[in-house]
Amino acid sequence: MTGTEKKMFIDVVGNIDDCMIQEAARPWVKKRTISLHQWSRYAAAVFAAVILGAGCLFHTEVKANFDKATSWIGRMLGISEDLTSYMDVKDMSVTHHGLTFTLQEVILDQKILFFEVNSQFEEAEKREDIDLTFSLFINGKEQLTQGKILTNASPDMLATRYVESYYIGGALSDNSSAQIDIILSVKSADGKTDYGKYRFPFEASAQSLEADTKHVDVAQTIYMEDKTALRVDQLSINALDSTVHASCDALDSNAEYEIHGTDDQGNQIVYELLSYENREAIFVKTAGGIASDARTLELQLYKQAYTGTQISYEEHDGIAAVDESVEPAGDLKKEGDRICVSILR
Amino acid sequence: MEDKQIIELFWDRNEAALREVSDKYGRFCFGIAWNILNDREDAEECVNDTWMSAWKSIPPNRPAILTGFLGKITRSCAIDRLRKKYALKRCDLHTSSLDLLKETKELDQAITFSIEDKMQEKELIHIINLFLQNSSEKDRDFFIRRYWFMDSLEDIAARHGCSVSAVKSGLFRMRKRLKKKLIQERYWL
Repeated sequence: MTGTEKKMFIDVVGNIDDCMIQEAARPWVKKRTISLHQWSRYAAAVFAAVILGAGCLFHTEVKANFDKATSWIGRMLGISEDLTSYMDVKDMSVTHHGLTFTLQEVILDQKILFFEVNSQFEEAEKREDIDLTFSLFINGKEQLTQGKILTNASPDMLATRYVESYYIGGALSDNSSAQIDIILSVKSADGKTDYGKYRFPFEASAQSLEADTKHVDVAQTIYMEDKTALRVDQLSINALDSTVHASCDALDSNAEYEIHGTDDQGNQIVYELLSYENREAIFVKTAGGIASDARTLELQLYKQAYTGTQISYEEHDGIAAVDESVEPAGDLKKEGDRICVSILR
Repeated sequence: MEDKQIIELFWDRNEAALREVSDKYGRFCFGIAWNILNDREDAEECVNDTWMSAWKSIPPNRPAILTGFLGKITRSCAIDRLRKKYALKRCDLHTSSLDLLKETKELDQAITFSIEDKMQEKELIHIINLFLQNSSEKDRDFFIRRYWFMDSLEDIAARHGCSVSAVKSGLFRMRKRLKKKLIQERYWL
């Protein structure tokens, strides 16, 4: 097939990374990975204990070695001098060509990491439309954005607020720090000015980034028409977002689910199902928001069923194209009763 | 024999390379071709074409991962063969292929408009790679076994010891997430 012919998804996916093909070619074994980074922490801790223990016995000799070893242990623990803590990088600003970006907030909600940045042009006359690309790296590995960029421009259009969210899975562990690097690549929309990269590298653990996320235990079950029970386990709320954690034995694979919420002040919020794996269902906020002083939140589950009807075929360049796609079956439909959650913060 | 040694045989233009590669990767490549073509004779021809293609392209290539290198040749060859057969009305697509095409129909929208630009295709592959790397191991395996190896849903369920509906559900979420990613990256019209 030449480059000008019509390609299909199955053609393009054929060129994915060889490593992943090799991995999938092997028999399936659920892997449990202990990273070198993690191992090195244990090794460093043991080494430090030995040095300190020896120090009690050979006080003078050990002191010099201990000084030398400090930097090595530091490297092993990932605490080299050029790494900054989250509190140091919070509110940090970087300016290129009169455009400043400030990292306002980084918040974790279990498997989802949110960050907020503000952009500010120094002079009104230099203000222009920009193309902004976010990247997030954790311990050198690029993370997948959920594609949610909320913008909230100031009245004079000089400042804009962006909130970006990433599904990071288990990339951060509770107590040990990871190297996090937020990179913004900025160009003017007309392509004439390259503002370059704005980097905010820092170290943080999951625990420290999750400190400002409140988890409300819900423990209520919604019974759907098809007898499926969705147990709403927990509601997470923080300054940037809100997430519903639920569990279910068998969600309909040909349907999408939403949870619509209304707080006691009438503010509305919509959550969509992001992931469903091993009974665990995570719903993320896609619209609206809750008042910071809201006391209760009512939640209603909705289901959008899909159907594929008749299949017909046509030919394009010798390939059979299926002339049918999955279509919504009716409207978004209420499922089960509303539940009410106390969310006093 | 280690892959490096097999590649050296290719580079030395030693025909033993073909025997070694057939011994080591014959079953693997046949499995890929069979999943796509569902025809023993066609699948065997496809595997032989793979060895010939490898013979022509090594050197100058020195593949780092022979599994992926050979698998890609077989897969591409099998898809081409299926297309030709279908064009000549010599076959009906078997049920598994039909289901698979149906599943990925929506994702085809993101692909078709960008084909004239090789750079865009590379970027698209990069996005898919990143998407897969950031998915859970299980989801990634579901996705690659289904859309790269073209395994049936039943085979994937057996591989993971789970129900077919769990596989369908996992793939549905993956396609939905990939669609969102492609929309965000402006690969969706």
